Amino acid sequence: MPEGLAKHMRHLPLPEFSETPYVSGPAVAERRVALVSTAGLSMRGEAPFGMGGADYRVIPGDAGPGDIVMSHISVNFDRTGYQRDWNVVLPLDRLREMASDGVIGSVADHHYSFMGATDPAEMESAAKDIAGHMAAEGVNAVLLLPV
Amino acid sequence: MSALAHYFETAGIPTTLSALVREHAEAMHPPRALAVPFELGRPLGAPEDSAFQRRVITAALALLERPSGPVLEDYPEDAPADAAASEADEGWACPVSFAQPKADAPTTFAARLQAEVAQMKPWHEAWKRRKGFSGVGAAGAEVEALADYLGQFADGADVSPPVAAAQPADGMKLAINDLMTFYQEAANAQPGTAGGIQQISDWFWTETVAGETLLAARKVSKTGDDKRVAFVLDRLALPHIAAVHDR
Repeated sequence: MPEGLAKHMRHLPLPEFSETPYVSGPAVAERRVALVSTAGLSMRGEAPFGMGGADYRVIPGDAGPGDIVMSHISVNFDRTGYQRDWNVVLPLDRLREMASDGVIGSVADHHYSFMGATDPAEMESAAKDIAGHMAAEGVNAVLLLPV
Repeated sequence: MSALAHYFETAGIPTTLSALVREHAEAMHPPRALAVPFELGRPLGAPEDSAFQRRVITAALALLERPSGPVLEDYPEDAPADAAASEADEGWACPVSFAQPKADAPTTFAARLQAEVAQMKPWHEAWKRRKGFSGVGAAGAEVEALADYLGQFADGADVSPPVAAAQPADGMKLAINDLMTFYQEAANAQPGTAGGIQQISDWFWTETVAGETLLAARKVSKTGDDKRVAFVLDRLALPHIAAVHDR
């Protein structure tokens, strides 16, 4: 990472948390796993992310890389890796393989994307909303992947 | 991302994350974080390396089985040397050779950018044939229309983005987004190799008319009425790389 960018990242204002919640669950091999990305991913044809957007998009579990576009507002991260292989950002193929091999229990039917340039505190209500949908489909493991 | 982990976990859903910026995870102490030594934009480290990706996922998911937290652990493995990038270090060249301008060559950004896009197009088509799709499309307009808008904007014309977006600033952002994706994909289509992260970025910002156009648009926007458009060009759309700001 270029030093100027590293310095910028280190000095971003961050939300403060006095405590850390901690929810336990079964072994990984028994978990239903969902992905949450902050890469600004949406389904092609769906509304892209706007400036300051704290909203989210749903990525169906059977989506393929050609179904998805990235509209993250920042250019300060590499996109060429994602262009070559979406799994480096949204590893749905890997999760499907791991579920098939019994390493994880199952892959969720729905995955989610935010656009990470927004103040995360503004995403709290959207995250609660998503958590409700996840609970409804039995998700008990979320892999959070930033860019 | 660490903040989202707090929100999900508070709502009862267990989380684990790949932390690209360790300092953020240290400061926000999410329930479980795997600090990874990877480039921004590559939370699993390496494209086209399923074994490596799987090891990172496995390490992140393993944190779910810890009895208590917060857990912040370092992933011990660097991303494998990007074969494409290694070749690029030895002299990656853009697939398109941009000839020196002739005396009668167009001088406006709009015309120059359109000509360059036309040169890149066959390589972008090659990329689409190889992958079966393209990531271009967030703006919902043809790349030529986006290039025309960005070029005219850099030329100082009063133009609106050809994008069904609520605000001109969002349209500007999406136009830049798709133009850059078009160039990056075309560059990646070079036979035999593709440029590494830094090579493609350097090439885009220092050698292409597209990069020159965006830098010119940035200057134009500073004197314009729309401060949000100026913000997009000044703070969001251009990289934090000092060298390109001097171009």
